[in-house]
Amino acid sequence: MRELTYVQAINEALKQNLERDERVFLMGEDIGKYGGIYQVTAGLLDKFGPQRVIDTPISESGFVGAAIGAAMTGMRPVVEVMFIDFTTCAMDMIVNQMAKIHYMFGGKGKVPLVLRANLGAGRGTGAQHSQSFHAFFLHIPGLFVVVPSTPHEAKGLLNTAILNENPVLFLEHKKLLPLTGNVPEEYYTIPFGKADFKRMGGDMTIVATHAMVHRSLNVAEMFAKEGIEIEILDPRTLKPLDKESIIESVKKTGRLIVADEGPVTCGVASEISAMIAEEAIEYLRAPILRVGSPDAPVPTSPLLEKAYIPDEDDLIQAVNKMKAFL
Amino acid sequence: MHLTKDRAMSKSNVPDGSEVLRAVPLVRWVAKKERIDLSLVKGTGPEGVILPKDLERFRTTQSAMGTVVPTEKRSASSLARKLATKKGISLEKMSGTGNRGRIMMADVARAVEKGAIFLDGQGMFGQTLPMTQMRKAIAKRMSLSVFTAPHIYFFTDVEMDALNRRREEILPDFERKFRIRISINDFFVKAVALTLGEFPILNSRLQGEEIYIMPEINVGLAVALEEGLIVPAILRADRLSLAEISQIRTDLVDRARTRKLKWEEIERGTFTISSLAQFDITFFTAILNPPQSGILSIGKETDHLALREGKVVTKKIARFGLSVDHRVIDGVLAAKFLESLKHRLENPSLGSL
Repeated sequence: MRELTYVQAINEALKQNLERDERVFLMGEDIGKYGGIYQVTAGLLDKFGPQRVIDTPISESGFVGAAIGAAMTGMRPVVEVMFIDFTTCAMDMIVNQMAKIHYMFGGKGKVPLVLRANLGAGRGTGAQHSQSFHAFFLHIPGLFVVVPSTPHEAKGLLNTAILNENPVLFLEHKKLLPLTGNVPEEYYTIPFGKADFKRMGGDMTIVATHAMVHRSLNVAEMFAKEGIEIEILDPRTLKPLDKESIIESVKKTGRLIVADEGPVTCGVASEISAMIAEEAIEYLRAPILRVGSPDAPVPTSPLLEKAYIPDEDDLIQAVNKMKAFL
Repeated sequence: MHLTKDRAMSKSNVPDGSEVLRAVPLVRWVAKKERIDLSLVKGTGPEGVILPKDLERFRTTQSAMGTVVPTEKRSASSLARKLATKKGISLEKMSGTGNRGRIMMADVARAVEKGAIFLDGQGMFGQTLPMTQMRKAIAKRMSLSVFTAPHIYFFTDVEMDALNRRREEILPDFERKFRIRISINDFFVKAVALTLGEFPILNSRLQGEEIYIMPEINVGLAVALEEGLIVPAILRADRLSLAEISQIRTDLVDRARTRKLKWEEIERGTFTISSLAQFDITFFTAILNPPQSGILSIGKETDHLALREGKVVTKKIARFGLSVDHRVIDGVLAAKFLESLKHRLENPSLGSL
């Protein structure tokens, strides 16, 4: 099968949706002429013209609000916010409008909108362009949250997101942008709420998102040499969350590590840990461990940034801790 | 450092400063379901946390040492319970053929078919009884002992008069001073422990092609329970006073009967005493308690006529049997051990007892 990068896979999904459905259009800062901060929308302006690939002023609240209006009146906007960090400028639009309109109008209005943004540290972009606060959006009823970890999933999940009748936050990870993988040429979808077993194993489960999936896979291979088999589960969408698969895996292994790049406090890993504590505690053979970022801003210094990012070393430490309970 | 600290692994701080029992959730869940007292289980996880494998080991050793799950605590499948309720029969005394004696629906069905009557002896003839886990464990251990250790047996008559007198003499004193009632068994434990000190080879076990002389003399006392037999051992009995032995023995026997013994209290035994003195049994042979190399069997006291200085007198005689593992111990040594023990018991005034 043909290989594409994560960026190319998203670009292809956008292109195919623009072709398939005339209601689909793109909006965002520098997405047209420049092709997007990470070139995700490269070439689309030339192909589809300025009516459908719109460069906006630097006003997140303005263009996200405009997109909500467009979605309510029958369009299917795909909005790019340059970094997840900038969604804070549009929080009123996202939290109070986008997420609630369908509910507040008794189901008579709907917002089929996809908001794309990237998150993650590791590209030296500093404290205001490197955050992973996607857990914010899990806290807001009315939003779907998608976290693809491979090019194949990026394309399939984006297609599903654009078909969705409700607002979706489609969150890309900066470190995964250059990642290559097999991507079918044809249009396909991947259902929301269906986790993917990235690796099977009976000794412990790592539920991992985004880049943590790949870091966990590396660590699992190391421990396989010691005879420890780690199961790796990628939820792929955090809302809806595939609880059943996570519980199924925990029932089998009895040991759970949750790895997500966001700050640990009140994060994705905390939510999944709490869910297991509530629904499957009787299967636990060890305390649940969370691997994530510390409660600190992302440093700009490359050395500090490396120390900050939860990586293989942190996962190894967690697995070693868990090993004592084997 | 991005790993969260987990409290389950930090020391527990209880107001009174005592250590709280720590177990992973699965262990607590299973223990609650099966009513296992976790304070008896030794944890091998970080800082002594009880892991599922510790519980598994505990259960295996419990069945290996013949402890039976008390009937009122018997586990049964939900289908079995349903059927029993429907048929109005009690599960309490039913034999279970499932894992660890769990009562399955088929067991209830069988009981119903047979009118649930094989409990009180009536109608047992011609019936097939499934072996309980305890029975299976005893069967396994005794077969292992008989088929691997060639036993030889020695018997001697012990005059009990002096020992009985000695006990009578000190009994009121001990009751007053220590509030304990010295049993004749306490003398036996002490005498055996001291005699083992003289004959270390009787305090040994065979390990492959080596004889390992156990570093401590821990004398086990067979305790009969309704459903089986259990042998708690008195640690370093050779170094204890009679009063201490008596205190420890009382506690161990009590806890044996309430099934509160810890595994190490049984496992540590290096020599066993089995007494049927309260029954009308003159003497008997005992099967070694593996991996030990010696076991003493004690019959009841009987009146014997004896000629002493030209006069016919009556003497209280108890017949002592000693079984030893012939792979480790030869006849002469065993005989000398028994002789020495007899001498000790017959002459308590020599100071040793």
